[in-house]
Amino acid sequence: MTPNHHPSEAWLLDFALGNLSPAFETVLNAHVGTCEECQNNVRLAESFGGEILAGLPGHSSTGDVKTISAHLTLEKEQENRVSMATSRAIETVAAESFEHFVETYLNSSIGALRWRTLGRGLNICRLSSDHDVRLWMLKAQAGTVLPDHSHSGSELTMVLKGAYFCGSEIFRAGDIEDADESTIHRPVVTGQGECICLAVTEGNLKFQSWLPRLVQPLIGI
Amino acid sequence: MAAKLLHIDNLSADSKLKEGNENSSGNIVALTPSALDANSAARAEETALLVSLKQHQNEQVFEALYRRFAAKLKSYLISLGSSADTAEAVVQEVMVTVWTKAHLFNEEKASARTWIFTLIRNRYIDLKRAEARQSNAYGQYALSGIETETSSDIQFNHTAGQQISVMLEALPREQAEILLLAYVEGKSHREIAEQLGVPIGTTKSRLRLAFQRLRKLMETAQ
Repeated sequence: MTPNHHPSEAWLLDFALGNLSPAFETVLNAHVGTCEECQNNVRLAESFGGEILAGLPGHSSTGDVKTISAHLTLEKEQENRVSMATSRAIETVAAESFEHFVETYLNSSIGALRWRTLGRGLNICRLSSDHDVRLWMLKAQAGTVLPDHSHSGSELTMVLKGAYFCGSEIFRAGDIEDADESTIHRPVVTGQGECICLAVTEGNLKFQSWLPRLVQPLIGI
Repeated sequence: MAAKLLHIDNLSADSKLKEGNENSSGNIVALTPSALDANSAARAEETALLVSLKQHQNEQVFEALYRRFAAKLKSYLISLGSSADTAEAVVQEVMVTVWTKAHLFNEEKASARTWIFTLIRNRYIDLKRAEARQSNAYGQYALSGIETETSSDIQFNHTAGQQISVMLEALPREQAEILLLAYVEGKSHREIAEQLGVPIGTTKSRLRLAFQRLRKLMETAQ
């Protein structure tokens, strides 16, 4: 599976530097694991990190190398706490299927997910909530039209199974749709089968029509 | 909160002029070759030192790497918000790792500076996670481990002798500014957009252009 839609470089930079909250981190992990192009961008951000580091002015007081040298032999025998993963690009695990994703990233199984109905053909499962950042799983039957909505913050949607259209674009398994407050969209699931997505949202969605707005407080979306 | 570490106003005035060029030929615009050459030479020396350490575990070689990196690593952590004590302890840990794990360094995959950067970055992420756990457990935001100090001894400016990276000079100021805030202050692109008062979409497109240019720069550099 080679994704065609990617998170913007801004997300990959945040991912490479560890500047993301856990829910966004999960979605980025799942995509970067499957996507060579994004892995290369993460490596690029890391290479540039080396340049930034090398260019920093040194702090005026740093411990003497002699003190550290005295500990070297001793420390060599001990387990070191520094993680040796040389790139975040290879730390990731590809989410190859919906089932695999649930096992790897949620440490759970499909049967354990608690779905709630959000409307005809649409089910939703909240995986985590931290301040105003929420991680969701959405399951929609073939042909389902989701309500028009915009956002009050960032939203990343990764397709785990099936596909949906948004305007003239099609999002398939592995793809990420990168949306924010400047985006209004109405996803439509393709006719070929159910579509399951992982989505992380910041703040509440803003629905254009009254019906979803009415049920919004009940679902907490 | 974050100390006023970045003196971006000092970014060279002519970097502003480069904005117009970013979409034209896509070539890297006028960097003084000597500055880039010096940077490449320094990068190659560091990598040679680490390769030598990997092969011989020689203390003099280690000391040379320590002199090149320890003070910079400490600056990096302090600018990200660590207290001086935490930063000092973490730098020692990372430098010990450089010594004990040099055999894992692969010079074909990364330069020494990138390898060392990833070590400190990993440790920084661990610290942040530990901080978040502690914060959840006690319902507090201020923590003992990481604490921002107002430091005026780290001042970045783009005068000839004290540049953060010659590569940043090849970027338009508006892109360099975002990269600095991300790398040196540990801010996410959303936090940066808010701080600069720039729409999120603009921040994303600036970073897209910055990545295009960085890719070319890094290809030339390796």
